[in-house]
Amino acid sequence: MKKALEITLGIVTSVGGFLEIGSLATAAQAGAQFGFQLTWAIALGTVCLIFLVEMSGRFSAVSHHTVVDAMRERFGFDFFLIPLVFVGLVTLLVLIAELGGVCLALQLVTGLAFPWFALPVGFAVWLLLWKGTFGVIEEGVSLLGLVTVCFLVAVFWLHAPLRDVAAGLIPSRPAHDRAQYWFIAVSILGASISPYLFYFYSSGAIEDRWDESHLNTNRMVATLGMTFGGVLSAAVLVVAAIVFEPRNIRIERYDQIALILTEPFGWWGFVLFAISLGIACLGAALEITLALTYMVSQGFGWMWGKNARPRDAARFTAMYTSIVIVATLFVLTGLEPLKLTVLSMALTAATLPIAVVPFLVLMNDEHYVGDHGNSWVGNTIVLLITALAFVLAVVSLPLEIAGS
Amino acid sequence: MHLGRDILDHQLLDRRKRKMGRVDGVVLELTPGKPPRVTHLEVGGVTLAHRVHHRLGQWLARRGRRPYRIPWGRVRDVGIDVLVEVDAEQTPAYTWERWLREKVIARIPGS
Amino acid sequence: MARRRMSPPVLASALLIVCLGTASCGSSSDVEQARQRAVSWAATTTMVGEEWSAGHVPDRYAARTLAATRQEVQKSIGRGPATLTPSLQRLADAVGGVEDAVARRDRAVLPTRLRAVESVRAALTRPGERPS
Repeated sequence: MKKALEITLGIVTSVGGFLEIGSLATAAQAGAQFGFQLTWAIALGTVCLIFLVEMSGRFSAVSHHTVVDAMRERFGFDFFLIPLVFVGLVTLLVLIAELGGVCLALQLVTGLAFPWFALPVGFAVWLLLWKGTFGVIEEGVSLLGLVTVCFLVAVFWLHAPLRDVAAGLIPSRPAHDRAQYWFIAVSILGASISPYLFYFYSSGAIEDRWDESHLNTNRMVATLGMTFGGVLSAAVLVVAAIVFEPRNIRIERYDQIALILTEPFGWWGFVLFAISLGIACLGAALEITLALTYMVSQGFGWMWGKNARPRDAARFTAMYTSIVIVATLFVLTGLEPLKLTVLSMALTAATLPIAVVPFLVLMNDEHYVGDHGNSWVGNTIVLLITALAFVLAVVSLPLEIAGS
Repeated sequence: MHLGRDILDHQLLDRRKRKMGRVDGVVLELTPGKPPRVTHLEVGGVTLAHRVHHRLGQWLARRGRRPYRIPWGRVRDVGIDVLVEVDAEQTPAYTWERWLREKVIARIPGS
Repeated sequence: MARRRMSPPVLASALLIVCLGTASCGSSSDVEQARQRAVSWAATTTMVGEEWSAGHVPDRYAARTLAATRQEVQKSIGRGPATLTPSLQRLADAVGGVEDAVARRDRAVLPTRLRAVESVRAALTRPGERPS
């Protein structure tokens, strides 16, 4: 019974954390400009993430190390600096986008420009972490995050042509705007396969004291949770395709996306979108801040833990405080959030090999995973998708930057 | 025991099982005719800087930064983590931890 | 990743070809891009106007979005291809008209203002694209 509860909670928290500003923005752009054609990118990203998250949980349950712990131990400090710096910087960009998302949700509801909310939102995030009862907060926010299911409801409300949607699962050449197509595909992959997700998951497994008896739970949470999250992203794409594409509206600003649910749900649609955006981004901001702080703390061997009292983990506390301050300052500058979001997703895809390859090495190292190492299936799938994301990013990023 | 694999970069725990950083370096005593002997574990930014680039380490050392050394005799156990017989609070490994706790964190309500 | 050394002349020629290629693709697709963006802004204006009229979105949101859209159109007038400038100018005025209706909460005059936007959109839309 306890296991069943654990599994359900795990799935729910995964779902709540999956749809955040990156998946929302990239899916909306994809649907508006290319209809159902890019559904395959969401599917591919979700599959890769399922494998990575399951591996991450399995790794920690068996080796009793977090991924970051093991990366420093196995590869040495000087090599470890490379993923730390690259993944750290890109993830910080994503955090800025998420905080911006919360502020944008508040702008939609109140009409005040979003930078006004930067300080209160930053403070709220910091306070939630400071209070230390993060377990409760995390679950609470994730449960609230289920409001994003409204997108799935909208799919059926709008009588989405499911056959055409399914056809989008097969990659196809775009009829127009080829460079944009591949750039959005890359951003979707980066939004789906964020390294902070599986690094954070492994820390959670250690905090929850997982061991080999949890391997099946892990498999179920990873598969069902991430799948449901992917389905939600796809739902956003489908609704955007139905609402925006026939009108020839291209998504260039967040206030355009805010119209996405008004066709099915009227005024409630506007409200639901704002709430979805705000809660999803808040949950993501909390998770990303912790993930970044964990990376540094584990890398340097400090005390770490989401429920630690500030007094007992001073460097850990100082670290997340600094991260929140820096991110908040960037939001204050009023940088256009949509471009930043999509760019950070593409950069995530570009740095994916740095985050994933060392992890795959660890997943095949007997010293850490014993008998529970990867099969050739897992290795191949993750490597192929990572390579694809990287190649696409390297090709399309310069073109996109040159184009804008 | 394979130093690189079993000790270097591993988590250090003090006598109360508190995390006190990682083994950033190992100090060996080299005597001609004898096998190298581990004398100390090194913890500190200077050591890390030196591993990234020796000039960086030299620059920090010129500014008077010294690594904290734990004598090999104080190592109690080497497993997933390296247990040492010291109290982290009394060591330089916790210098920043103590400073942040006293000067910053204690001043904020609710810590 | 293996790095192959290319001899300087080969590398230079390759770069030249790439540049020429993208430059020649550049001009026609630039006009196309600008046209599509203008259509998108017109459509956004129409949708915001309609949703506001129906009471689906708040006044402040509509005002802010319309203002931002108008600014986008005005910014593009200077930068865009010369052939589009008259249409873009008309579009900026039309968006301004809708903006004004929203500011005065005047739902009666809104349909006229939206029609102005629609006529610019029709002029910009090529045959073969789906007007809505």
